[in-house]
Amino acid sequence: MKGQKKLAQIFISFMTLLWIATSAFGATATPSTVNAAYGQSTSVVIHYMLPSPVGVPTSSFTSTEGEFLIPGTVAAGLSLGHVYTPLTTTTSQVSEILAIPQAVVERAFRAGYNSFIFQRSFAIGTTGGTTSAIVNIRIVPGSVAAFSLRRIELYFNNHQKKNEVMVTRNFKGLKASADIYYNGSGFLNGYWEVDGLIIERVHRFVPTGDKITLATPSIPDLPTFDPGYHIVKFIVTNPETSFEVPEMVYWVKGTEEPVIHDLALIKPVDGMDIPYDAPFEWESMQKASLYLISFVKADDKTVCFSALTRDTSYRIPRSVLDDYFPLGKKYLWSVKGYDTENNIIAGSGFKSFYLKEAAKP
Amino acid sequence: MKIRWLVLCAVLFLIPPGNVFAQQEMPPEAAAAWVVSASPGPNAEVIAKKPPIRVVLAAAPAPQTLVVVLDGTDITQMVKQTETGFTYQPVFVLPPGSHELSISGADAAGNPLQASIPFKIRHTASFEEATINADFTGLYTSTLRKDAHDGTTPYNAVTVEGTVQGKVREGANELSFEGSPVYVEQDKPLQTGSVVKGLDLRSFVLRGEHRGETLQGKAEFGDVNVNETPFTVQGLLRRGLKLNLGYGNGALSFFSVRAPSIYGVRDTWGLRYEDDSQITGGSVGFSLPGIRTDIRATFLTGEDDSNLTYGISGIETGLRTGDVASFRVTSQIIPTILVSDFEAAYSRYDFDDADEFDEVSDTAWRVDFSGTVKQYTYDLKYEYVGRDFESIAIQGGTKDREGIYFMGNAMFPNHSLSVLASAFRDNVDNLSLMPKTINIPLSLDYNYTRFAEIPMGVAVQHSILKTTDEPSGFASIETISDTVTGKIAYIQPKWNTGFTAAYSYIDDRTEFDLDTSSTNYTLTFSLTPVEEWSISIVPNLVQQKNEDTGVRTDTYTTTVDLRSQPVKDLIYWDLGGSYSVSDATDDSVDMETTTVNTRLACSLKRFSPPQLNPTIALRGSYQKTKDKVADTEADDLTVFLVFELQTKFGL
Repeated sequence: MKGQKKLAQIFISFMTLLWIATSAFGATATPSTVNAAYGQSTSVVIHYMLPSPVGVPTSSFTSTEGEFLIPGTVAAGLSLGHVYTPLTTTTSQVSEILAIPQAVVERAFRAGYNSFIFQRSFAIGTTGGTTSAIVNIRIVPGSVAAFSLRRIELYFNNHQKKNEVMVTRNFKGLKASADIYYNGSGFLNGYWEVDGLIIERVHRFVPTGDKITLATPSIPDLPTFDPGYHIVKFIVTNPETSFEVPEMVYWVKGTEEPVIHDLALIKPVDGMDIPYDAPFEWESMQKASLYLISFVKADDKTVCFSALTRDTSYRIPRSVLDDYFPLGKKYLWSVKGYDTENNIIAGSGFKSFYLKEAAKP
Repeated sequence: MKIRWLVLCAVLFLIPPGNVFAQQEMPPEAAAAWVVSASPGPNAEVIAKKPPIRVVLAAAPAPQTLVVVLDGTDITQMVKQTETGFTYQPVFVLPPGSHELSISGADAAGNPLQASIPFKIRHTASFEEATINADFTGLYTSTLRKDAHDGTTPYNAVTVEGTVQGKVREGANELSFEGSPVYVEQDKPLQTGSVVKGLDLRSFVLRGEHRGETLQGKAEFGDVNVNETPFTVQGLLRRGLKLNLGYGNGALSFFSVRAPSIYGVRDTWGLRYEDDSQITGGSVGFSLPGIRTDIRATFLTGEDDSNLTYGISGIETGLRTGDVASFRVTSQIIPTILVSDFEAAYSRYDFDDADEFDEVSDTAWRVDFSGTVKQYTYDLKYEYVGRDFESIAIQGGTKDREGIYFMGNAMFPNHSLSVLASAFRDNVDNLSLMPKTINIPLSLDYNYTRFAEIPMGVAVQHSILKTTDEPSGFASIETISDTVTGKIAYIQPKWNTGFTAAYSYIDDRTEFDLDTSSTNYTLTFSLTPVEEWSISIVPNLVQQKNEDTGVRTDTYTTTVDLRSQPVKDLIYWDLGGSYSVSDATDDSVDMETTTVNTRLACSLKRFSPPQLNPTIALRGSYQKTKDKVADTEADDLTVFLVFELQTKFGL
């Protein structure tokens, strides 16, 4: 009995020592060292490993806050700031996205320090014990800081950088862009999303440079088949951000986007020398009731003459040559087709030609 | 303010749109004797947008010789010849102002005949030009099924949104407005950061402009876009006031806008000055045409109390204050060939006026030479941005950097090449508390365009980053990163396909040796066999490997986009879908996500008045997520019945 009692005392003493030892070793944080950008805020993901004291039944670990401290002055309590984000876990691991505010970096730097620590204490279940994890933070120029995002700005790049636009149904070419400001360098992973639908995954290495601009692809386009509101987001999966991801909306009208068909130019062949009365011909377009042929000066790209016709060919009248077509110059020509309501339904590219000296009548 | 809008709209609606001639047909004294009479007559002023043209000739021209040209457009084939001349009904609206009708031909003997009739046009009696256009779409949405009770998807919702644009102009003065009225009513709360329920104006701008020969002025109120210089403010789209004045070679600008974005006008029109969230500034500039040089001085000051603005997120909080002054000189030293741009700026900025620190000040300057010589373009820039330089209107921008940047571009008939090379350093104040860094990013992009149907190209990026003069306790950093990208496409009228592959390797040359590599493959395929059907499929595979641990994460995503009209102009079926799988070799990630959004609609346009466009539609949204690591699975199907009505009109 006496032996059993002694054995129990030894066991309790051993467990107490072990508990003290594990508490003293405390929790660990990964990464243990973080580079924070001077003059900017930096966000990093911190993973905590929380060892339970042997023999102590642990129901949970709870931390109500963390603290930024100047190293060597912890006891004196020289605090740089607090993070009031509660963490609770019933396992031995927990993570947080730690935002290191610009003000904290500034306070440390102005006090003459180029590093400080972030300390978070966890209460261990109902034992009354605590364990702490420490992250060393070094102040560095932004280019070698931990890869983190400072700001994301979304806009529609074909609408004067607006973040709310209105487009016709089946509009093609609506593109969203994101200006992403960051510290450091690394792999940027994320995806464009519209109404929960992934449009494109983005995965690229972004070198030091502090800003990158991303845009949605041409294929697939942003969906415009459904009239109403649509919400565009750029979801970042790496690095993890501590701020709310921005979003913007576009409104699809019930009006249908007019389809403009390609119109093929037939004669003259591109770049030819032609007499003034040579015919200009193009393919016929179904539903086109009217064509507008335009002649453009190649040097200044201004329209010098045009003609309206219901045919699919046109000849330059002799009487307009002197006023509109100085000889020996290069000209471009193109054709547009209109329906009965004067909507453009077809358009061609440009072809060039040179006018020969007109024959004397 | 609302009453003024109503009065303006009422005035525009009451403007007579019909053809009203200020002058009767009259003998064209100024025209050649060949023209007996014309309407509009020579130098007449017509009040109409498409005035009919009637010309009576003294003698009919010989067959095939009549040529009629209106403002440089040959309309001969569009005129209707009569026994005594011809008539013409303009196809397009003729812009207000001066016009000229030229008539030429030849008589039976071959003698040339020619006449010219100048005339003027006004669109209304009150204003030289007056237009108003509106386009509205209304939706009534009823939820037939929803699995997720997220508290935001309404069972019933009515949304009407549209645009209204109007303009009146008289001589050199113009008044215009654009607005986006919106009406929303639903049985769930609206998302934050947008308009409120009921009638609202999502965005608007009211603009007054004077375009005189020596004096030009422009005033804008509403959602304006502020642009000054790269160091002060660029592309800031905010609610407020903007004024621009130009007199001779001088220019003056002023702006005052809210720091955060404002949506709708129910809470505020944004006209009132807010001490805690306003950015105000202006510039003065003048041109020296003799030496092709523009000089501009800019100043702005502001406060910003927002911690989250729509479209922009930042992790800084609290009230930020600051001001910035800039002096800029741009010069066309050799027009288009050598253009210089110099700017020096000084800023004061306090990222949190509630803390113990005062504002900090710093400088920035840059000099930029750019130009184009034949098929070559170039841009060479030196830039210095001080450690604490920051404009209140460009928060989170570049600072603490000094470097040289070069961009060159060459376009050949079958090739194009662009080169980017730069070298810059941080820690510009050489503080011993921090390491110094050197960055050298280089990139080259080559495209071969000999075959228009098969465009192809390759791009190479190489970047060097390393630290020097590390303070005690700081390990040195050296990272070399390389990326190679190749792309090729095949383009046909009814289908096209493309393939892009990229490989990146990050060589961490520190003692930790945390190298990483990544590959990215994307295939695009789109098909439009007929006008009513189109489909695109884009599979993408990303593989990222931690070279230290050997763990590789694969992410495979395929997107599908279908647009179709099973019955032309009657039945529409559209679908967008994505399928994504993420899997890591250490089993830390194993997830599948499927999303489908679709719409099946029937147009009722053929059964309705021409100015209305009604549609009835079924809209569905399906999402499935399966996480094999967490052993969870979720399905969510939502189905809506939607009635859509669209209308537009213009005067």
